[in-house]
Amino acid sequence: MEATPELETFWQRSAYLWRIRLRVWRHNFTEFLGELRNHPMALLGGLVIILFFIMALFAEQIAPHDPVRGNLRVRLDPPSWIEGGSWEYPMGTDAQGRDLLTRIIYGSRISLLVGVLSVGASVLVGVFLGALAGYYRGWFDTLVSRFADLLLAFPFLIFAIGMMAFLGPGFTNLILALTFKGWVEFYRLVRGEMLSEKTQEYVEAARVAGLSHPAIILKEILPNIIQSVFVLGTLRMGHMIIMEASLSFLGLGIPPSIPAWGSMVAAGRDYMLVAWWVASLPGIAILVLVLAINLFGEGLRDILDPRLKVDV
Amino acid sequence: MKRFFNTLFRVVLPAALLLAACAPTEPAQPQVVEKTVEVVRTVVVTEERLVEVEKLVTPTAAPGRQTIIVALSQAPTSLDPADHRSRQSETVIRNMFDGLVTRDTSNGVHLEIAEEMNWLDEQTLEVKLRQGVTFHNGVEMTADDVVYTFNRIIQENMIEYPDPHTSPRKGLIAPLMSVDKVDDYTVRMNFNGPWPPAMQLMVHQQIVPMGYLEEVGTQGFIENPIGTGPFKFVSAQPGLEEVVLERFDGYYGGAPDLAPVQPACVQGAIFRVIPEASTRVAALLAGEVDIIQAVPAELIDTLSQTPGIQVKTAIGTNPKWMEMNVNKPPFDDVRVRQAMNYAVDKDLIIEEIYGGRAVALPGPLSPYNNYVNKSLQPYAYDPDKALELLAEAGWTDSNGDGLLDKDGQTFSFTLDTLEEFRSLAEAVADMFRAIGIDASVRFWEYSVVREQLLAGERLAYLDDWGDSAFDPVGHFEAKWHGFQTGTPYGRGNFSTYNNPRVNELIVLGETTNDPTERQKIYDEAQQLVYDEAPAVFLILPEEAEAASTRVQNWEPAADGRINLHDVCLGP
Repeated sequence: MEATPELETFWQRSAYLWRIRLRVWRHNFTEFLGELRNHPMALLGGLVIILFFIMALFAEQIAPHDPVRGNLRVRLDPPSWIEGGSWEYPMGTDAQGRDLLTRIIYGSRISLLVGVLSVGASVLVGVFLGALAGYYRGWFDTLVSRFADLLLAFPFLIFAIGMMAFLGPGFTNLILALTFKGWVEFYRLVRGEMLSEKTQEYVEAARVAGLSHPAIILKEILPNIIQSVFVLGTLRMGHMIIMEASLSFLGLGIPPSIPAWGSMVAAGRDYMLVAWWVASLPGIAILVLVLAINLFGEGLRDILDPRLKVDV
Repeated sequence: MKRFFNTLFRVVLPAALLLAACAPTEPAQPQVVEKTVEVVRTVVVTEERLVEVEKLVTPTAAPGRQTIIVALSQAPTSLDPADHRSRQSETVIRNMFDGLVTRDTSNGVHLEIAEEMNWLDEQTLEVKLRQGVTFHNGVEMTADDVVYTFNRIIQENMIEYPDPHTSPRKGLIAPLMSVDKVDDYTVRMNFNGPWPPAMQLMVHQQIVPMGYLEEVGTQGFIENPIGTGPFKFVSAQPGLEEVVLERFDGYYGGAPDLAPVQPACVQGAIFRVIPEASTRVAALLAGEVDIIQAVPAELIDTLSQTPGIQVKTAIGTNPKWMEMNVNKPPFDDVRVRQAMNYAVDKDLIIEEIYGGRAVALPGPLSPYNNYVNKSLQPYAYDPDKALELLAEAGWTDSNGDGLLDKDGQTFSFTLDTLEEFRSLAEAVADMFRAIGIDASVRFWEYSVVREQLLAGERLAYLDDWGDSAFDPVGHFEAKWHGFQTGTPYGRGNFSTYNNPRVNELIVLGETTNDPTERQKIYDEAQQLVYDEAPAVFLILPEEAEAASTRVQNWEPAADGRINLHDVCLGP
């Protein structure tokens, strides 16, 4: 046992609390890693995700060629394992003679960035509105919930196509379009959890102890439901990545000069009969990353929140 | 493990859909509903097709399908000969409608419905019509129909559906002032002056039935068009995604110069739209279609070696260039525009992207144009010279970042284009990047970008402009004359180029009959445009079409038209 610390000032109390929190988290994390061993598929997914993150972070160092400059002399060269291919271009080249491996590596940046940013923004908006609506109810709840129902009535892709056609292609617009509908899922989750948690005894206790409403939401309830948000966030990330790829495929996402997997598939489909790798390899990259994210997400769900029923 | 497979399926399915060029939708409730709709629609289409085919194939027919199916790369915009401006529309229309004259596959013009054409003086053309030509409804075609057809094109607001508007084909016959009936089989066409390309451009106007059109109106006419051509209309899918035609047994046989002169050989024709090149090729290989348009250069070699497939090419009539906005920096400096021309290695593009099946443009006109300036040579590939010119104009890499700059501004621009020019545009942009210009490509819908281009709001635009008449008219005044709203002048001028001398020469060339004099005029105009370089003159690719070997007597035409009248289907 350590000695009881000085808890005279606000800062001292805060520091003490944080030390305890960190210890709890570290404990939980170690336990989580231990649990992961029982979920080999989730572990595999996690490793693949880490691999892709490393790829994206160190693209300049890893990629063998320039992602934008091509060489027409070597256009549509096959991957190294096919006759006529060379190790100079391990995954072959596209119609402009650009190295496909390089472009896939750079493309992972867009996919991961879109996944993280759009889910992050959706979480912020969804949790904020969901917590307010679920805790306070009233006209605010009615208003936001009806608006959320309205958004839910549209299929995601159709909605995103419409928004991108309205906003014009571009990275910021893409995040905006994905977030505009993406927050609804988080809103509904948090609002629902809020409704049930609100009636729990610990909330009543906090109320009796004199805590203000914002303090109860932030310090008491949210920490209890943030795990579900985390699980849902992971699972939605794969979905957002597919959305970005679909929009880029349709020419509505990332501008064509930036390598993105979806637009690479789109550009390659004209060459399917003579050079299948141009469209297929970026497609496989999408498949592997999204599969990994979903495996990891499902494992996460089983470990953190077994009662949560979230569909991918 | 079971869960793993569940996940696998949930994830693999959307990803596989994406691979198969289908964007996945959200796997939530709405998606199920949507898919059902899709399936229902597909079933309906299939049923309709089956019905059509059954109707067309009579029991006495030779073994094998006797209806020829053509895969178009784009949907026709209308079946009204007076209300479109697209080659796909014309391809379908000219199988249903005949004109006064027609063109063979090597650009010779021949009399079709007209029996005789005589210039009474420099601006009056007398046309004697063939007798006994009937429309598909059995009514004989007379001088009234011809007068009506041309009045409908040249007079204002003659097309009343969907909103009253003037025929978009008026520009192709602008100097025609009026048409008079002389007797039942003779008309006189009055032009506002000498008009040398009259014959070549008259090919693009087809005769419509006056009585029928007055009875049903334009809306009724486009729903059930009637002409004098070798095929009559049966049905069309909404959006003209598929047009079904049937042989017209009462056909007079077409141009007497172009044998065989008889009704069509096949029993019917179906034009089906398949926008994606690889899907078109796959449909041909699977025997679903007999002729495909616009074979991509990459596939020509593969296809011609495939048993059962024939590939034929015709000289192209779609010269391609990158126009630069001459009124906006950095392209307001002629040295910069010339440098851009020197920076592009056209030979490399022709060799690698087009497999050698293209030629470099010597200047603003196609090398096959009847009035091309023979002294012009394509801008050579000379990156050093390009850099020199750019340096003269003030563009150097002063901060060592590998990109040219001037007064602290990096040389950076967006190259606008359409999706169909993707590989060419990206290759050209890459060549600019090679000399230190930050060029990126953006794809547009033509209808969206056109307004901005004419208003001079864009910087650089890569596309093509057809010159199927092989005459500067229809082409030169559209691209290099200053833009004048409501006239054919500058209707495709996306560089905002406006040189008074060139404008003057263009107008002069349109009204000069003497070929030597005309050549001089166009030589000077081409030299001026070449020197001032409002565009990077790129290339002219060959047009390639492919067909199954069952298709006989088929020859692609340089103007992109697919004339099915003479085509037969073998066993």
